[in-house]
Amino acid sequence: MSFACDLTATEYVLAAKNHIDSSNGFIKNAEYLIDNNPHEITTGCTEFGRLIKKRANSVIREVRLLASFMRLKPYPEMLLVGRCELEHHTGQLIANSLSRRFNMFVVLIFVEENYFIATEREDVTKFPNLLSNKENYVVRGICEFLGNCFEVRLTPDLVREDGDLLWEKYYETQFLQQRLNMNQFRRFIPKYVMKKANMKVESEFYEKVVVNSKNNRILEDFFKMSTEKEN
Amino acid sequence: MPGILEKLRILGEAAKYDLCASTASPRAHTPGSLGRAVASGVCHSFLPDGRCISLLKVLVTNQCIHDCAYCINSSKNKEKTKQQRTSFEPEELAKLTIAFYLRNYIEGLFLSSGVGRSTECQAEVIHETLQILRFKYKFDGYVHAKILPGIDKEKLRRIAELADRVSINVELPNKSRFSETCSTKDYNNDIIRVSKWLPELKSKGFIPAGYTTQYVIGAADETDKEILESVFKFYNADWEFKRQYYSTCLPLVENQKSFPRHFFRREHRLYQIDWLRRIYKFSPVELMSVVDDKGFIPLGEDPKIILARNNQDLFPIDVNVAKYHELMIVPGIGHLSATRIVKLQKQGVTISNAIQLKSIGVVLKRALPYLIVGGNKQLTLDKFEKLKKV
Repeated sequence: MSFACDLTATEYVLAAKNHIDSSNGFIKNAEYLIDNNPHEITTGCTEFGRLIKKRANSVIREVRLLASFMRLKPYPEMLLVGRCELEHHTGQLIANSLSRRFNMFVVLIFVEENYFIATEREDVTKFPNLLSNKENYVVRGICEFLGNCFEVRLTPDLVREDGDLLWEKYYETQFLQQRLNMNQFRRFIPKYVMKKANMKVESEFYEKVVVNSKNNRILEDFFKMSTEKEN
Repeated sequence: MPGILEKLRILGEAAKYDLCASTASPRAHTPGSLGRAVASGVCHSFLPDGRCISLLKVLVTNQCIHDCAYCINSSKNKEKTKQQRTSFEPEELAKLTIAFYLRNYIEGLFLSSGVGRSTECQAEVIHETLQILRFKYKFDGYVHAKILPGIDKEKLRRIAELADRVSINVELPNKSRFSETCSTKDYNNDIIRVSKWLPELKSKGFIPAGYTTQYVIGAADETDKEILESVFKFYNADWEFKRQYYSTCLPLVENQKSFPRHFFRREHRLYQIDWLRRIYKFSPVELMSVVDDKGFIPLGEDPKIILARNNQDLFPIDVNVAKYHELMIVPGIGHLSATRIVKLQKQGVTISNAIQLKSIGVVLKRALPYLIVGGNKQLTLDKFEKLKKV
């Protein structure tokens, strides 16, 4: 519940429509409110206005977090493939968001048994209808299709099969044990996001660090100790 | 010669103390290129120490001719750290950046380097890497390049043409402190002279995301007052540094625990003062009043609360009529909550109780003693004592 008003009423309703619990009735009432009392949504001064805002924020948060943290696998045919778990109907929004960032690529996102595809390229307007939603089948089908569409391909040293391993090594090197700050880390990447966005490297390293930290004094301990001393 | 995995380990490790942040770059997007430096920074990864690593942060080489006491790559500490010396080829590093970018691990590149044979030679390698990245691979994402001390103006200009942001590490607040830690670099000639070219480059449209610097805290016997004098100088109109970072000097050998841990809190307080200057627009004179007689910021209390207590005559402020800049001096109110309050005022919405303030994002326990909400003011302990005496 928030009294803040960062978006317009229409933007809140547009986002709230994608919430898992938003029925047709809810959407109709929300649209009525935009025309008549939009401030109820922006200020959240009524229960229904607050509900719209709450749902919108939940949807926006999911899109923002997953588009930032979801890991992708590149294919030479200018295809980027990701997999995630979703709470709301945001698969297409996330694919669109990623396609704006990777505007020369086609972005394919798998969510459970479904997939969402998006691109900003103007030379691909329609994708083929595939008979199955199985990941391997869809990736193969789209790759074949894109192979015929695009002349440019990514070279193997850019696709890098060992890309995840390299990231794992790099990620470990950047960590400073003396600064371990789990609260801060969790604030930025909540546990459920790590799972939903398929962040294996970060997740495994975090577990390893937490186990190690039991034997070490860390930054949080230090702050606690100094606060106790001051008191 | 180590493979790419080993190079990444060594040169990533060597760059981990450098500080950078995901940020906005107003550079226009080039159609047909890969990625974009988005209008607002998006973070793609965090470490369990809470630091954002949205940029691939590596050195081109960890070989260095300088003897800085605090640096793991310096010639002086070569024996202590026993780290193998190696370098990335420009092409190799450019490909690695693209590979990580496509996997959505990073937002861009943070490129730094030790001074291998000479500054000019190393600057050339940095420039070549950026050139390959921008022109051969058409990378349009964010690039932050570190400027090596003593670089010549032409090389700096060529790097600034390709980078979104550059930074030059001041490391210590003045010439005497600087020479305590390094004998091979000259503060005025290698740092200040080079920094003076940056505003000119920015005004010509290079480095759209501005330029920054970094201090290493606790490397010499410098006081906070000395650091703040330097910080305020670099934020004024002649220099216009976008940001300044503070990094506690950590022991060179990781398992060594004997470093003064209170430096972390010192670093935190310096960041708070920095924000009060940049975002909250407190004047240098006001902020210097927080520093104690020995030249240090008190570690036990938030500087904004100290400032509010020193200026009691400015409070309490009526939340429903206060202007943005008045709200910003209230402890517990930040930029976001002040903006929201002003927006509500414009919409004619009256804030009548503390719960509403809380939902805006105001930290009530800090803010309430300095505010009038719905015509009421919280009775503070000081006032209670005064009333009792009366």
